[in-house]
Amino acid sequence: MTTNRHATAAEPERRHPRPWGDPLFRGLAAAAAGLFLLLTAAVFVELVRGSELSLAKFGFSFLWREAWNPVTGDFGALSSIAGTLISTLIAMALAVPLSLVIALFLVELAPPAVAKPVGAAIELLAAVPSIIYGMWGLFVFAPFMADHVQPFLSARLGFLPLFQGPPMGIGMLTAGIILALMILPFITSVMRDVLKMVPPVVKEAGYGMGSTVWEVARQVTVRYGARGMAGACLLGLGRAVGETMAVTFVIGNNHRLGASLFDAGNTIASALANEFAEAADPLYLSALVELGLVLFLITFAIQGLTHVWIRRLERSAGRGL
Amino acid sequence: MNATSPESPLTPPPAVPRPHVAVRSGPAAADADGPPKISVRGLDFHYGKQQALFGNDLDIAANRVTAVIGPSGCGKSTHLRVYNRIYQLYRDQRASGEVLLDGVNLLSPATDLIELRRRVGMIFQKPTPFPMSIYENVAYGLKLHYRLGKGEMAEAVERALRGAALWDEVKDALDRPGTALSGGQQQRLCIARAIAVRPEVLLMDEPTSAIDPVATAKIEDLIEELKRDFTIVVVTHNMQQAARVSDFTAFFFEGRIVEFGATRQIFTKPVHRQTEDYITGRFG
Repeated sequence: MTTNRHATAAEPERRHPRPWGDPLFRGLAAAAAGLFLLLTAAVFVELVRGSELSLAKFGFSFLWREAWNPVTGDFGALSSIAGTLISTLIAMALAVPLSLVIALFLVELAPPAVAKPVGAAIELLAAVPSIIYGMWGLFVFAPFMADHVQPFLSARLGFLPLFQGPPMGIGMLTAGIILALMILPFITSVMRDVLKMVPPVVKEAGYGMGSTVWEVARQVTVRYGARGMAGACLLGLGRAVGETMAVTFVIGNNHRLGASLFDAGNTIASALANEFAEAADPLYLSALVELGLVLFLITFAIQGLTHVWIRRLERSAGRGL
Repeated sequence: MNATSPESPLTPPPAVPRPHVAVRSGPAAADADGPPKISVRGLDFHYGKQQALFGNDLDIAANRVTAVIGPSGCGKSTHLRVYNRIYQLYRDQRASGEVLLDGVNLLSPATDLIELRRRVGMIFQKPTPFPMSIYENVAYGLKLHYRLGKGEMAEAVERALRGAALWDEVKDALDRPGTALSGGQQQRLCIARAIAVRPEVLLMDEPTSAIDPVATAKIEDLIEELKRDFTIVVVTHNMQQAARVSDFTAFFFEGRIVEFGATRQIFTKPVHRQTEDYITGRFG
């Protein structure tokens, strides 16, 4: 072998060894991640402690009693829980299919000259603060509901209890629709990103079998991206469940559970926003904190259920994105 | 990659004549009886402004295996992707010329793409099982193109899986996800899915380049079996594979078909210097 010319040059000064580099970084990263667990646990503990009075007085019956009377000190969460779930359900039922279709259009069908500006508009919508949605909902959308949508629904579907009652504009249905509009841009933009990540060759295989655009989208692309899609929906759901300002403006804030979607109602978040400042009595305050605890648990349960559902899906379809 | 010619890079590399109609020579070429299944005439292809195929002429014999070989970037996959018009998914890709499937130009705007893709199936370089069970993967195309009762469907799925030499390995696991299979099994699953809809032509775009040698051997045996029922065009990087499985071979270079003929002739007595250089491994 030839001699190594570099061997004759003086070796440059070495950096000192640094065995602590990786452990230190690992520790810092773990601590940062652990903070989340700690915070979640702390929030939970604090909520439980804050609701002690209410828990002691009403027990589990808090969950299914409709009463809400600060004067007599009688509290039940039924109307708030139902309102939260119903308004969220309306929002998801409207927003998810619409988001899916928009995202499919942007990724699979639209020419770039259309997809780019529309995509930008969607991201802009996602950045609009919720209070703006609330004000727009109250001043523009609620009158529109009262003048056009609610009379129309009463006329056509009025035989259903869901669509009976005076068209006041505000109420559960309006809140659900405003929520749908708010979460639409979130779900759409995440779904679009998921659809973009599906490998082209998988789609090509779908088209190669003689599928139409819709068939590939429904049976191949969406299933391939199921995990990401569910993530997109969860993101929207999380926002809808906890949304406060926009809902408070248009839902009517009434602690009663009406049969009609036109009735005024309330959600956990809207009740908290409305009443926290005036809750002077310790029991009243405690009941409100317990509402918060319920909201926390609802969110937790939804996350868990989604997880189980995804697991089951993957057992038969395999893991995608 | 393609800077393979000994001449200066400025002169157009091949000193060989580029026949307008690719050379067909040797008695073996006469093996194919009857009219060609696919006849390509004057096929040009563009990616945006860049031309990728130049006046391709090629006859694909029915119930034979035709191999398409050539160095990377020579246009062999591009050529294949015209046969089922899958290139059309992409806005800036254009093909012109004629590709006759049983005498009818499939490049015509009147072509029903869904029916074309039923008749001309495609297997890709990477296995592409859909995110569903093994059974559903095979049933996928059947549902698209046929009305079948439950029993008929199960029969058709079994027939396709047997046809792809996969049945014995998966018959007890039909409801498991297609993606849980090994790479070679996945590729045979894709073949089963493709043949289930009773196509006439199977296009295979480097079908074994992502799988191991044992699985490759199985697929090569399968190709031999399948040609009784289907016309097969296989793009391959692997020259031994082309020699083993094909009856005819087309050699592509820089978007042109340099030589086409019976595989034995191409591999033993190539007419063109470039073909010889490529198959003997001097470039590519």
